[in-house]
Amino acid sequence: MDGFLASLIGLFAPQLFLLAVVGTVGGVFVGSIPGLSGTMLISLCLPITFYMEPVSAVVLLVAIYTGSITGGLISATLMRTPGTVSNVMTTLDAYPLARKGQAQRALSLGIAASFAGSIFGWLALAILAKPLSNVAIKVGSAELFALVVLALALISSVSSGSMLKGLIMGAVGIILALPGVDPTTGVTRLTMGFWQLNGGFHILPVLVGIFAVAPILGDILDLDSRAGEPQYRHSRKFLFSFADVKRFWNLILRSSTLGTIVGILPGVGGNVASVVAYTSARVLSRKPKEFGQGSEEGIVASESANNASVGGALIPLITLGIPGSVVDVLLIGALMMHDIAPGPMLFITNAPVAWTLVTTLLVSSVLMLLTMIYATGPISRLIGLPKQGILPVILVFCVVGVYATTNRMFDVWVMIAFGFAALLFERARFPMAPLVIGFVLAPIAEKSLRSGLMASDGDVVAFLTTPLSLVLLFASFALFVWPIVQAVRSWVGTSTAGR
Amino acid sequence: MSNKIKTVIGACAISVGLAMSGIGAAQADWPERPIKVIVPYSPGGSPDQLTRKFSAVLAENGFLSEPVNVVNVEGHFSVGATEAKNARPDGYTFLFLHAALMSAEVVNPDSGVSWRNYAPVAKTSNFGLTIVVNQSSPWKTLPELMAATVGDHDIKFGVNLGAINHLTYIDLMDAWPGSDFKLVQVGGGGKQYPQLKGGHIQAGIMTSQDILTFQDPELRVLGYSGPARLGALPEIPTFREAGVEAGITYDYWWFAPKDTPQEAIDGFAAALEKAIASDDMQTWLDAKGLTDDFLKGPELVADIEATWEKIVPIAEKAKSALKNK
Repeated sequence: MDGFLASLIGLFAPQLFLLAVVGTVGGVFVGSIPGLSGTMLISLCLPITFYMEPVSAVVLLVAIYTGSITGGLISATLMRTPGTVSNVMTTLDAYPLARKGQAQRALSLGIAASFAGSIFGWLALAILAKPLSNVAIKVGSAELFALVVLALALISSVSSGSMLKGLIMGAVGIILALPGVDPTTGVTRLTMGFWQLNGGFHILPVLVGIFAVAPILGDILDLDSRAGEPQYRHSRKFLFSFADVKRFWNLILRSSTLGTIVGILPGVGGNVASVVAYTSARVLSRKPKEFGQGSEEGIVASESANNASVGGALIPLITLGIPGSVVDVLLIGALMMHDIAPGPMLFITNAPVAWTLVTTLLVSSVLMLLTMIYATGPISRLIGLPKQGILPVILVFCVVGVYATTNRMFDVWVMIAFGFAALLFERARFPMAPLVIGFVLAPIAEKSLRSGLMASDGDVVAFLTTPLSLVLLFASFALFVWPIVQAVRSWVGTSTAGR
Repeated sequence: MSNKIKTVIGACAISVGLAMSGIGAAQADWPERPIKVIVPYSPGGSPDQLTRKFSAVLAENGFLSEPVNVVNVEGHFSVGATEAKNARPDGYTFLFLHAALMSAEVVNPDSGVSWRNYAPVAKTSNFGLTIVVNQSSPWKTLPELMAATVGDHDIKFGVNLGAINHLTYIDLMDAWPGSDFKLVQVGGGGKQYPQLKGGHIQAGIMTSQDILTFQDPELRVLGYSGPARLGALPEIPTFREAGVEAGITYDYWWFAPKDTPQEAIDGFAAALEKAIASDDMQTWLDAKGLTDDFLKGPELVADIEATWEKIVPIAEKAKSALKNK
């Protein structure tokens, strides 16, 4: 506790506080611009942090991380282009709500949910880090596989509109995740003769292509007809009341818990967290039909989960030295350069650094809330500029952002190709959300399935004898089949009624 | 004269001066502009840290007049390696990589990589791997662990199939006839650690750097594959000291695209040699559990060929092991 207070007070030293502010504001800014991401800004800042004190480095990087995951909400709401991959699910409801003339409400909900999720994740990190990480390491391949299958099964319930189209897009997402390195043998596969595909499709160009480039191309095509665009007049009014707290606390708690848990699992971050929370919110909602049409619950679920995942992802980092997300890998790198080993001994050998990780998340969450309330105005004014001026600029940012992260031109072409393809699919009313779920989750499912089979000598029954995985697999089956049964039933019902 | 005008004139003078110095540099020899080193792994990892340390030491001590920029190319390492192979051989692009390059040529020919595609510049250091079990496990020494697997196929060993830790595993198996672990695909050291702690595998394999990263008193390190104990981990015996006649280490190499001017190769190798000899670098390598081992020129070529001869038979065994998966 002393360490915590000392670190918290230390954070208000001018230099550290300035870094926290710069990091959070910078994070919100890159987050709000489609194409640019927090991961990119952090990897660009990494070499700079090698020349800083370890504590300063941690403050800067964690602040960027917190800011960037929230900033994407603004463009998701006003432009239908998520600022980062973590805000993809937010777009599905925030933009429709904005089109109904409730942009301010959508933004306020998102900001409030982000803050609540962020604080929830922080609490988990500060209080439960040790026990949670002990539980996390007990999750074996069988359980992880079952968990991911459960999320994959939700494809059938998350697809708005045609069920068949949703399933097709889910399958497309899974197929897109297959080329590259075979997760078990390390051998490259399905590269179609392109050595550039030896590592598979990088997630950033794929998602930026689908969710930023495609809408931009669509907007360019529709430049003449300006109907139905969100009319947004910014006001300082924060449309989130005590009644909302009463209405959403349950959902926020549930989504933040899911977000934190997903965050703890190694290698998966805010995007998976918001996918899982959004789909579960829809399944449990009293008004599932509203999802995708401007559901307030959808916004709250997605934004509280992705922010909670930040705290969750830091749990295995400070307790075990294992990265919970891609950004955490960069954080570990920054610490290692300073000869600090993030592992079980971190609180003993480098207590100030460990506590700084914890306190920075709290401080930057508050800073993020303030930044979001005050920055939404200027950023929305930028977005409100004439489209023929703003669209090319964002397209440039997409190219720069993708190149700066992956360091190769091939990925820029991938982004553009996915942009055009997604535009065609969208015009044919194919939903994009199932594609993302398939693309993001399939590799985790494949890897855990095959590792699990190696451990059981190829015996499938092993997946059904672990209680947790049995329950999860059974639930997945029910969730996958139920919407299909319903669809068939209503189809049979209408066709018999027509006779 | 107003301050504004003074500032403008001053700025012009500085710019002209800078431009002139640029012209001067253009007539000098290599290097005359920043150098790019491709690290075909994600930022933050062990190869990335090492190249960035070199970059800092080279700049701080003036061993090179131009900065060395580290460029990470993620995905499979063959992507970055192929980018380096296809880069213009102008002396400003280099590649930093280890024996994964040789292993992949045998195990994963589709990846299209080969060490013969490059001009070797230098080797700077090498690293070994350690065998790790939980403190609560019954095996106190490496021979005890190996002996336990004879006739018992249920001891799970985490590995990254086809990668260098798989090669070390095969090297170990060859030294103990009859030993038979149940291999489980886990990945590199960072991924082995939670699997080991969670009891999903009983034995794992990590680099000495991983051990220094996690510094977990609940782990028991049974042996190190290098020829001698490490300064940073003096309590860990080598495989041979522990009683198992095995042990290979892997070199970190710097390559250039074929047909890179000899002047650039020699210049870069000389700068790296100075860097590795510096106190700063030596202290850092020690702390990270890495061993300095410098070679350049014809000796390097001979050394790489010898390494290839050593790796091929082990990698062939890894390849046949993959066929059953």
